[in-house]
Amino acid sequence: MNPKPDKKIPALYGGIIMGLISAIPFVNIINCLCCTGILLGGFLAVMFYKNNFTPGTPPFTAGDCLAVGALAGIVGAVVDTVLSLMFLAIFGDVTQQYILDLIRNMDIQVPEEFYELFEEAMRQEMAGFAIIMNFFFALILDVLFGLLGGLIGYSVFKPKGQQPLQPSPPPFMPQAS
Amino acid sequence: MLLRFFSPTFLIDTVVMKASFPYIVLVCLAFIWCIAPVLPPMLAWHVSPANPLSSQLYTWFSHICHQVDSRSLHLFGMKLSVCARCSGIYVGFFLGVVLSPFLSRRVSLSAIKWWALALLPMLIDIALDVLGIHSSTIVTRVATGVVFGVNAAFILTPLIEESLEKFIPMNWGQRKQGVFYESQTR
Repeated sequence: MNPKPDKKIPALYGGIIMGLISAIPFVNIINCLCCTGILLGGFLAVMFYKNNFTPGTPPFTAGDCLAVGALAGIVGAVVDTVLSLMFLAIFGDVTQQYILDLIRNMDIQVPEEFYELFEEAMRQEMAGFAIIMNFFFALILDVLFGLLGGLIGYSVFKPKGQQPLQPSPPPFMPQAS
Repeated sequence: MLLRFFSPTFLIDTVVMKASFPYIVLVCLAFIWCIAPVLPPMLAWHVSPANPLSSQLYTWFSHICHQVDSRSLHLFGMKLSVCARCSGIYVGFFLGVVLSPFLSRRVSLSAIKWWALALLPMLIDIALDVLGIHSSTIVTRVATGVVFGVNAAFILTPLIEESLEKFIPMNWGQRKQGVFYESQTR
């Protein structure tokens, strides 16, 4: 039997998609819906992984898909951090600037300190510590939701011959006495 | 008869002892994730509104959820760290993980159909809101979130269990029995 295909290349593709979705301004709003962009990256990584299987290779398992999802999450966090910094350096924080302009144009009373705090927070985004913290947050979240995306992918692309979903047996039910 | 289900002896003997160890790990993780969004308002209310742990948790969840005040559930006058829909999904997922051994084996659907059914109420709620036919409320957001969370847990619990078993192969009940038999034979 042939060995299982390499996990790194599909994880790299999935991670790049994950990082692009998370970094591109306005597109990254999709992550506000329970990290949909990150889940999608993990899911697509499993889809690419599945495409490399031939009839001669052993079927992929839930563990394989978890590994692919986690690897995609690591790649996604790196791509997200690098691209976010690039976009920040080139265009500035366009999303937050847009939100700030939106609040200014609305008919609501907002204290001036709010704007100062908001602008201060935008300036601090380029500080070294904030970059490290953002990478740390991105790494944990991307790996966690990449794992989930990988599992969702496994549930969808699982080979037909494999066993159906089998939850753990129900606990013993006592008979009415 | 019904009271026996809630007695600690019944829960330990039947649920904890017979469940696999990975399943118990999953239940604990789902519970922690479910409780985490409630902590910031509780900490802010009990300790101080400006305590660092509370603000760190709000920052952490801001990466996952929009945290819009009008779309969030409130506790002690402060919003939870995720919106109502996400809260529903997390609570639903935890409930689904707990109920999965009892209910999910009764459903024989393909995963794609199951995912579609899980997403449908949420998508209808969002679509009707966007089209202006019906305005989405806190109740509909929580309800559709719970439906999605429960179904997601039904699909994912066996898969998570299967993959966790590679890392945690020990069966909780068997291990406990082993310890019990060892002490009996000494």
